[in-house]
Amino acid sequence: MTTVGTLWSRVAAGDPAAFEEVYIRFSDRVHGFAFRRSGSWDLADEVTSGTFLEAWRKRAEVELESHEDDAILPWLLGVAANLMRNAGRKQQRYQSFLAGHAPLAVVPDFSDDVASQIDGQRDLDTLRQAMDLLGEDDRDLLLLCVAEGLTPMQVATALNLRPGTVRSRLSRARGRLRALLEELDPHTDGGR
Amino acid sequence: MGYDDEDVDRLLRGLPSPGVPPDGRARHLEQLRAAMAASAGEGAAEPQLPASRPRTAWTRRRRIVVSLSTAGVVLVGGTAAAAIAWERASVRSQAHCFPFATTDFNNPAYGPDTTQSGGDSARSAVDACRATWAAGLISSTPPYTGSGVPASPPPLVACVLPDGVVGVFPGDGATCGKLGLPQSVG
Repeated sequence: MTTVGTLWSRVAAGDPAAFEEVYIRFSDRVHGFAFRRSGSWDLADEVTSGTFLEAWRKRAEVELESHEDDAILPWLLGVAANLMRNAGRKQQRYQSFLAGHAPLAVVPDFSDDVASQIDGQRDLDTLRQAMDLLGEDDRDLLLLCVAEGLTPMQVATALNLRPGTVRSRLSRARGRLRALLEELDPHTDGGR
Repeated sequence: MGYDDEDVDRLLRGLPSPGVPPDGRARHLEQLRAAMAASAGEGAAEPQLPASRPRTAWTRRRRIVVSLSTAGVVLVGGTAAAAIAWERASVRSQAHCFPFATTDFNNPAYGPDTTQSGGDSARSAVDACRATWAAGLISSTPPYTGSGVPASPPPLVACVLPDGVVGVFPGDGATCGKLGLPQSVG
């Protein structure tokens, strides 16, 4: 299999076949991340498409910082995270407009009713509510580090941070999410 | 119950992360090819970000059995013993309410015909069928059409039927799997 480094040097030179290969290799990861973050098929679809269009547009500017097989992935996930932040703000403005400028209510995209049926589903629902209440920085950091399994160095590339900052913020983000989960969980004192 | 860091990490890793559905992959590649061709031909052409995927138009539920949709299916390992298959219904503005968990998906004797769910999510479908149960318009016993007397709805779960419509059954998170159906998500 061609290495990503070789593939990307062909992409940078404008090779469409090489770029299609990059899409085939990494689009599922980008879509999975976008779905994890939003719980929305439509947004995940739009963000995946937009991420690769952006990658093609900026192909000559991207420099891979390692020779690992997934070296381009952190950069792609960083683009996806930015697109989702923009989409989220747009959606929030639209919802506020519809609601007569009332504050936006937190509405999880997953089925509340299904989620209440078994513990795993209830956990999922509680987690989505807690994630909705977290700040965007914390949300991206947790998803990239924990759910996507990127190293602090890779997350630093994705979010344009220093690796040391990633480590310190990760610890605080975990703490904030834990507190929110306890507050929202109906089986804890906070949720009662 | 409290949460520690391991619980938090386990929950985050358990969030569904489906890959691109086959129809989305074909569409994305088409968009990318157009963008690549434009930039190759004109040099300065900028690709346009695509609009949202068009939603499926409202259509009446077809009473035919077709093969399972090839839309993205997600396998999620949760705390339950069995993995849950998730799928997004292709017809999202209506739901079919079933009086009990059955694989006889096209039997018109089971409950009222398709209900407009009033929304485009699994939650809306369950809400619509819960209202039907609460109004006494469906019953788990023959003739299944209910007595019209308001009643307390049973726990309901939304699955994706073979023709892409949401089917709402009495049951729990394991019911869809037992019927050979993915659970509706999103």
